Amino acid sequence: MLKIYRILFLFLLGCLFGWKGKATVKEALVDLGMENVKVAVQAGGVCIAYEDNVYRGTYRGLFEVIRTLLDEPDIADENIQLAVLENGIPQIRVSLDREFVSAYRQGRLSLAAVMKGLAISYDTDEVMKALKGTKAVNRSAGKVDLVLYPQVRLQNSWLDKIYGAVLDIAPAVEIGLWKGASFTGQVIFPVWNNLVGEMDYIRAGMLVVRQEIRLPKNVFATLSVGNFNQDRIGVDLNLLYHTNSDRWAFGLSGGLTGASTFYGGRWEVTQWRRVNGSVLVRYNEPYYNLRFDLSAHRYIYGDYGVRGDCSRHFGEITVGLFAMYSEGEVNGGFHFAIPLPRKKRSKHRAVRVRLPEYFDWQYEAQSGPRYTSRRLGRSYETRPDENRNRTYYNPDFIKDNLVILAEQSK
Amino acid sequence: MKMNKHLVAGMAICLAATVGVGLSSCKKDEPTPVIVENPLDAEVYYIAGKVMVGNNALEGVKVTASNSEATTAADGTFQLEMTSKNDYVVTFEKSGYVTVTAEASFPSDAKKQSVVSLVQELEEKNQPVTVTPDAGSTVIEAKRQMVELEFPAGAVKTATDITVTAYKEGAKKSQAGTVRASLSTVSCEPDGQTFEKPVILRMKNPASNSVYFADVRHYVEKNGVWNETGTADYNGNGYYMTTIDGFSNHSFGVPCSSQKGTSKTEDLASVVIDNLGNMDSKEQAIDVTFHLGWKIDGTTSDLLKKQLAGLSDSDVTALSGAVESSLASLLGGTQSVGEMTLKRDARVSGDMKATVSMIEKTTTTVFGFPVVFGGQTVALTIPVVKYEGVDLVVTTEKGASHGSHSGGSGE
Repeated sequence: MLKIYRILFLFLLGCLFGWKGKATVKEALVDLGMENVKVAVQAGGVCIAYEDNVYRGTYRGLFEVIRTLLDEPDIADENIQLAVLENGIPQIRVSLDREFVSAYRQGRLSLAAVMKGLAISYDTDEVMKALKGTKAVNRSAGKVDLVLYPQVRLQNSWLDKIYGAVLDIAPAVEIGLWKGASFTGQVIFPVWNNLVGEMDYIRAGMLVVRQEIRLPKNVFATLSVGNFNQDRIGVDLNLLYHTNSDRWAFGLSGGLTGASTFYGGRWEVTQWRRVNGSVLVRYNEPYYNLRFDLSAHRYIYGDYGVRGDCSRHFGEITVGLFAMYSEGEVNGGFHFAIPLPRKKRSKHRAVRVRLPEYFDWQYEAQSGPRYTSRRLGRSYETRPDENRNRTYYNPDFIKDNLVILAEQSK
Repeated sequence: MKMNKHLVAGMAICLAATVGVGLSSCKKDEPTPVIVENPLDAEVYYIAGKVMVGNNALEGVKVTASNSEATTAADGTFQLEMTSKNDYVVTFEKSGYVTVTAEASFPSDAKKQSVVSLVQELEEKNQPVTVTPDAGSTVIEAKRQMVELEFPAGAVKTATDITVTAYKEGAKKSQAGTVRASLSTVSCEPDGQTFEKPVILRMKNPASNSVYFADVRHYVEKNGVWNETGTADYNGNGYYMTTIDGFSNHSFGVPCSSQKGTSKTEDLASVVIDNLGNMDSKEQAIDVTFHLGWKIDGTTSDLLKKQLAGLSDSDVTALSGAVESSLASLLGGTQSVGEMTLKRDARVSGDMKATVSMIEKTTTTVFGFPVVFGGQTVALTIPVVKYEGVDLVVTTEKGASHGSHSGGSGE
């Protein structure tokens, strides 16, 4: 009998939430600009999935979502499980205990303390299972972003000029197609340069169709086909496994590419004959938000090498050093990614025109003419917004920055 | 959903096009710059110039230096390809003409592909004249009628056909100090003919007795080297006199001081072969047009009038001719500046730009002639500008696909 009452109670609670609270949560998140919003009520609490294409970075939108949920009086003091999506693919799970919700609402806990109490993990299997079959609202598919990428290239390889410099603006149309699928179409417009060659022509940038999927056990797979950077065209497959805490990550990638060049203003492509690949081991150090990457490569032009990276995340700014070795030549340099204005973008326009979230740049010292002529250590990227801040959902990093935002919001 | 269908269709077409282009391409590998050797980078030096007869170009002259040989074209031009920057003796030969040698030298700082210019005037041999042993006779050089030979009776054993031709010596290597400037040079044949009695060789003084060259000497050429054999002083009666006992090439030489002055360079032209951004190599023909010859810096008559005040107009004219003729024996040809064009082929590697600069070099030399005027010996100075030749300076600019060194890169 007690069991029947318990079931009945849960049913009524679900109906109540489903009728009012669920709608409120969805509306609140959609009002924030969140996309692909799904909400499901379970016995253990409420599960929510959303995708943030409004706020810059990986934690700012999450902060707004948590604050909204905490401040929404129509949402009961329940356990809240959030799945943060990127292009429809879950990245991390953020769990908020009902005790914290209740304590915060009663004024016994600060927002920062609530943030400290969050449990963040890469394991989203359970929460996504709970959300299975739930209809998403404010879908991101078909939404168009026009992103204006600035490109700056410097090279000191010629005796007759201190630096060869190329400044381009490369607008890209980025469209979400369906779950995990996206298209990027980019055109590069030369602004100024003191070199002669491809850089003088309006030319194709990234023209990529991409399908990302998340496999069980925190494995992410991305298949990209199209025109990449570094004059490459072809197909690329990337696999990345994160431990739940993201202390460790392991990756595999491989590509089959040909050349895609614009010499003399003619777009010429070659057969896809060059095979590249890499194996990655990553360690994220939580105290200083350091990321260590060690990777072994077969680079584009067939040379084999290893590369070690050390990056530190200062909020949205990432700086790092790297060293690499390929075919007897040593190289090294630095890289950084800095945020570009604005922190929040427009959420209602059919076509969102904006700057990219981050400007990233890498400088490598190279090691002499042989390095240049043999084109050692070359690799490509498959998306224009590739940088070390993008999809950096390291749980420790996210939590640290949520706490900082909470303290700043006092 | 309708929009999604369109998007999906669009993306599918893009994807198919991209993949199709990649898979159907017939090119196997990406374009890389075609590297070629530019002929203008080869270490080759050229002696180039013109051969004239009077004011006309002379075709078919065999020009040799070291192991290099050329024949003058219809416009009298020639070029010899030399493999090192040395001093060369250039020989000009043509049947019926007096064979002449000239000196051409490349300075130690000469650039690869540099051209030393040379102008030579050849003289057609005069008709032979028969000298008999029975009676004395005088033979006057037919064309210029400046040189005379006076054969005493019995100077030759038998009747002998002799040919006396005044000609222009070839250019000499420029050097500071005292050099022999030839007032007149004659080729006397048969070469090596000896005489039983001394034969008087005399040269007319074109001017009056009031002005003449001092310290004139007689020189004989043996195996290409001019040797002084004695004086050929002015006799106060219209001639410079000497005696000879055999035939060779003979010169009335005056000791001429040579003081090198300034050297100037001038950018004649630049040709840019811009192959940046293209991966194939590029060939282009280049016309190298430069000056050759020499000129007196000023007018000879003005210089003479200034330095020899009171000189009569007729003496000015006569002495000017003698001075210019003697300068020609040092500089080659006659006083004139012409132009010559050489064809060169340039090849530039892919994604490179070459700039070929043509830099002409001129030198000014002050020559000093000792002349007696009004009973006083005066050093008559004549500044002369000579067009030495042209340097081809090739500078290259490498495109983005090349790297000369590694100073790093960022993007």
